[in-house]
Parts: sequence; C-alpha cells; structure tokens
Amino acid sequence: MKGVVFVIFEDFVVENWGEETFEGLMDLCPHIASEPFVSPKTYPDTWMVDMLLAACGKLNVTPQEALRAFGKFAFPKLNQRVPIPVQDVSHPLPFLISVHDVIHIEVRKMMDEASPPNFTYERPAPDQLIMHYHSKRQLCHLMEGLIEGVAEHFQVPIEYTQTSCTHRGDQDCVFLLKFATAP
Amino acid sequence: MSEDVWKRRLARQRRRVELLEQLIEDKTRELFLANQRLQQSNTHLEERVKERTQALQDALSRAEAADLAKTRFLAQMSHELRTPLHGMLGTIDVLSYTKLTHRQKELLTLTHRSSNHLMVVINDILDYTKLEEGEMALDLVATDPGQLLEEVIEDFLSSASSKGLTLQITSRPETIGVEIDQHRMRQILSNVISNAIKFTTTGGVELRLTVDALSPEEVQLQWSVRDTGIGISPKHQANIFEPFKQADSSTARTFGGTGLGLAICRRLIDIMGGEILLESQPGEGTTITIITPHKVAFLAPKAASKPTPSFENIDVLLVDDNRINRVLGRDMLSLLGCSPRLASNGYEAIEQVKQAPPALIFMDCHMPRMSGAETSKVLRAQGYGGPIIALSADISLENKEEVIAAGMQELMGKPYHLTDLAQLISTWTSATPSHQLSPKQPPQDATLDIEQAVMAVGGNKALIKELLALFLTQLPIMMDAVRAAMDDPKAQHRAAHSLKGSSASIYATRLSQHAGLLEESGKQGICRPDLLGTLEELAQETTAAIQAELT
Repeated sequence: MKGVVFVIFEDFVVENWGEETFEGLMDLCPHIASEPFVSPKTYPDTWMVDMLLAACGKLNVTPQEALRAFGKFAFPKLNQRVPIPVQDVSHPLPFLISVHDVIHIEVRKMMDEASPPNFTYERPAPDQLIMHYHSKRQLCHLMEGLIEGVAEHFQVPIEYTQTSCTHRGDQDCVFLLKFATAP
Repeated sequence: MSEDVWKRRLARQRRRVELLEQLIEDKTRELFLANQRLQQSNTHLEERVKERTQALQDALSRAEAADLAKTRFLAQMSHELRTPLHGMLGTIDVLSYTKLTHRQKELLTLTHRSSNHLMVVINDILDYTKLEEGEMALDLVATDPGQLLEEVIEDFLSSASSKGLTLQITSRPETIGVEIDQHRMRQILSNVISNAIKFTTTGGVELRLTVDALSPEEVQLQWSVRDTGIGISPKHQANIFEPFKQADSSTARTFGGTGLGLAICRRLIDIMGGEILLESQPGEGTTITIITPHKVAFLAPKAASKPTPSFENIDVLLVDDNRINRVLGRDMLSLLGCSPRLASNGYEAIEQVKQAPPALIFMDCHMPRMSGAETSKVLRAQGYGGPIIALSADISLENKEEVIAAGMQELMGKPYHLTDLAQLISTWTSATPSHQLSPKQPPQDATLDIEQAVMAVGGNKALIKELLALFLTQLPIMMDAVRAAMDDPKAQHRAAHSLKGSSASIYATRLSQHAGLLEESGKQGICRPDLLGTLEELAQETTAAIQAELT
C-alpha cells in the first residue's frame, strides 16, 4: 500500500484525537513505531491492518466504522494530493466512472508499485450506478466512506446500499448508488 | 502533551525529512540519467531521420530523372517512329498511282491499311503520354459543328455499310460558328463512332447533335452516339474510360485495340471542360453522350471558287536531310505535276534560293547543323517572300508556334498523303493539281482499270471494248435516273445501285464507289443531292477514259 494512505491515516488520527493518541497507537505496534511514513514509498498492507486494529481497540470502535470514517476523511485529501484532472466533471456519477477508466490508470503511471482496486460499472437508470469492487484487500467499508466523501465533495447526496459482499461469501462487493439528481 | 511524546514526534518528523531528502536525491539522479538516455535516443533518432530524408531525396531525384528520361525518350521516339512511317505511307501513296496488277493492288491495300492502323496506335500512345504529362493544348478555330460531324461520318459510311449497318445523323442544328479544336474533336467523335460500329453487328448507329445557349458568348454542344450493339455490363461500365482497359480481356481478343481510345477521349474532353456520359444495356446497345462548352465564333464566309492555274511546272523546293523523304517527296511532287528541286540541308537550300527563288518551299524542321526554323529565318532575312511550309512529325502547338515565329506559313505533320500535299500547294499558290486526285485515295481507286477489266473477261480485249461501248450508251440513262431520284431516297437507292453495279463490272472503280455512297444514303432514307456534283464529274471522267480506250 502506498505511503500516502499511511500519511493520511496519521492525519486522520492526529486531527481527530491528537498526537498523543497517534503515538499511543504506535506504541501498540512496536514493529512499525519508528517508521516515518512518506507518500512516495510503499509499505506492507498488513501494517495498515495492524494500525487500524490498534485504533479500534484504543478508540473502542469496530473496524467497519473506523474504515468508513477514514474513507470519508481520506477522499478530499486523496483528491487534493493526487491531482488528476478529470475534465468538466461536476457530478459524482461520471466522476466515479472515471475512477477506474482515468484516475487509477494515471495513478499507476505516477507510482510504479501502486495496485489500486478494479471497478466495473452498470447503469440501471440515469440517476443510478452499480459499482462492482474487486480488490484482494477487501476494503469495501473504506469504499463506503469514500462514496460519502465524494457525495460531500460534489454536494450531491448519494443513497447507497451494498447488495453483495465478499465478507459474506459473495464473489465480489457490489454497491447500488442512487443520486439525488441525475447528471 | 508530555515531553516524551514531543520528543518522539520531533524525532519522527526529522526522520521523515531525512527520508524525503534521500528520496528527492535518488529521484533527481534517476531523472538526470533518464534525461541523458532521452538525449542520446533523440540524437540517434535525428540521425536516422536525416539518413531517411537523404535516402528519400535520392529516390525522388532518381524518379524525377527517370521521368525526364522517359519524356525525352518518348519525344525522340515520336520522331523516330513517324519518320519511317512517313516513308512507308508516302511510298504506298506514290506506288498506288503506278501500274499494278490486281494481286499487287490487293497486297498494297493490305499494306496501306496496316500502316494506317500502326499510325493510329502510335498516335494513341503518344497522345496519351502527352495528356499524362499535361502537355496537351487546344488549337481552337471557328467551326460549324454540324459540318464537322458530317465530315467525320463520311469516313465511316463505307465501313458501316460493309457490315450492313445504318449510320446516320438524325438531328443537327443549323449552321453556327463556335470555337473548336477540330483535330481533337474529330479524334473524339471518330473514336466513339468507330467503337459503335466495331461493337454492333445488326441495326446501326445514330448520331445527334444539339446546341444549348449558355450565354450570348457561350454555347453547350451535346453530341450523342447511339448504337444497337452488344452493350456494356454495369460491372465494366465503371472502368471503360480507364487507360489500357476494355470491357473485358476477351474484348481485346475479339475486337482488338489498345484500350487507350476512350481514355484519351475522356482526358481530351476534360481539357475542353466537358464531360462524357455512358448509358448501356448489355444486348441492347450503348449511348455515349459528350457535352462540351464552346465560345461562339464568327464563321468566315467560304471563298467563292475562281479559275486557278494548274500545278504544271510549279517550281517547288523540298528541303529534307532524310534521303528517303527527299526521293519520296520528289515522286509525290512530280506526280502532282510540279517541278521539284531538292536540297539536303539548310545551306544548300539557301544557295538554291539565292540562284532562283522557288514558288514554294517545303522545309523539314529537324535537320542537323541548321534546323528548318534557322534556315527559314536566314531566307526571310535575305528577302525570300514565297511561302515556306514546315514538315515535322511533331505537330504540337509549341512546334506550330515556333515555325510561325521563324517566318514559315504553316506546319504539315508527317506522315502526309499526296492529297495533303496537293491541298497545301493549292492553298499557297492558288493552283490546282494537274492530275485529279480523290481525297485519301485507296490504292484500288481508278477511273477505269482497263487491265482488270480485260483480266476479268479472260483477256478478251474485243469483248471488253464491246462492253465499254455498251456502258457508254447506258451511262446517260443511268445518270438521268439518279438525277431524277434526288428527292426520293428509295428511288435514289435503286438508281445508284444500278449505276454502282454497272460501273463496277467495267472496273470504273471510283464512279462505282461514289454511286455506292449514294446507294447507302438512300438505303438509310437520306437524300444526298450534294453528292451529285462529284458523281457528274466522275461520270464525265469515266466517259473520257472509255472514249480514249475505244479510240
């Protein structure tokens, strides 16, 4: 996982609970405690899991809640730090479609070792989108938070339901999104 | 926040800064190396582009040189091919006026036909090359298009007739004057009409000419040639105007031809600013319509005929470096009754003119040391005022302009016929030939071929004299019948048929052939009183020849 996610996670903890809390989390993960995370580097996925579980224990929240809250926090930061121009996009629906077809392609060009998730899409209605999320990391709850972040960024409310999930034994995670307005 | 946490945060931030600096240095080095590789690759690419550009320029230069060589070769070939061809056609012409046996005449006719065909093929190839090079320019003169069409059709009446086909103009406008390149328009029409006859076995060919005014200064002519021939399938209609293509390969085997004729027509029509359209149904026939725009022109009134002196003893100087051409020219001029003098180069010509100026000079253009144009300039500078006619295989507009600029009167293309020579002498000396010549006379033409007539009756001279005497008594009756039939095509057909048969039996070939034209027109339902004048003359000539034979 790219260092940018770790840096934003540190910001997430420091901004919401303070630097002492973050250092406290690091105390719970001694194998990475001395690591100064930087955006360009790549770190093991398991380190993020370790930090997340430590946070859940310390803040008394479920991993799902933690991931959702982190996703919502992370979207504007990621959007700002990885400035990939998506021309003339002013609605979340075309933006979400461009995530796979434009943004992740550009991310792979910029960062050699990046392995962003894959998405496939369906358009059941003009104001609806079905997103199929495929990733070995199985971070579908992070995905929920990111959708909320997208809705807030474009100021278009999105109602979403996850119709299937790999954690429940389904083949992949599927989200049905209904937008307050059609693009 | 405790001091311990502060220290840990500070240490983490320091390590972060160190790590980032290290990363920046690494990336800078990587960027520098990548930049170097990029520059090397760029240099290599530039070199390759330079090499390729040079190779392309070399190839282009070679192609241009080859193209220039091809053009020069063709210009040279044009001259080289036409010169011996002129020798052949001229010799055949002269030979046809000597005494020949029937078999020799037959062979001469075949030679004449083959030579003419060869000339058509060579002209087609040279024309096409000129068109491809964009070197073709139009020579526009005031013309009556209806008259032009009449003249073109004359050349095809006998070939249509021999196939049992009708060939007629069903519609033509009143006399009008428009600017036309007569030679090229004839070429186009002849091509289309000859194709129509070639590909038709029953029925006939119908020609129509209509005129539409585009403005007070411009008209549009629509020439249409409709046949009842084999037609062209839709598949082959698309490429019928492409060079070297005929409807299919079996066409070339069955009907012959270079496949250039229609391609040349289309390009000539393009130059004229017109278009050529094709409508055809396989098995039913083809209609080719040619639409050409023309400027309206004033037609000069025909000069009234006046008595003219004969060619007898006209002093003509022929200048040509080619020995065959000199001998041939001398024979042709002698045959016409002129007194020919010969010069083999410009210097000799100047000397001869100084001693005694001739009435007319025929001047070859391409001569070593001093060209025809140079010689003419000298002659003009020395005060020679008689007509000088240029002779050349190159009949391009440029060459015409060059000979006129050199002080010559006009250009006659090689090969030329005896009739062409006679016409030019007539034009420039106001004289008429001492011997009667029919235009482009085929070798078998004769007023009265007594040898053949005698041979036909097994050498019985007494019998042929009886027949000739009988013919003399019948001829006025037959002529009366023809004269009386001039407003009834059927009667014209019958009367001319009778005259044709009788005159053929005593080998009065020219009279018979002319009667044949009248017969054919009558068959097509056309009255041709305009042919009567020549028929009367031929009848008189034949009568005189028979009388000479009988006495």
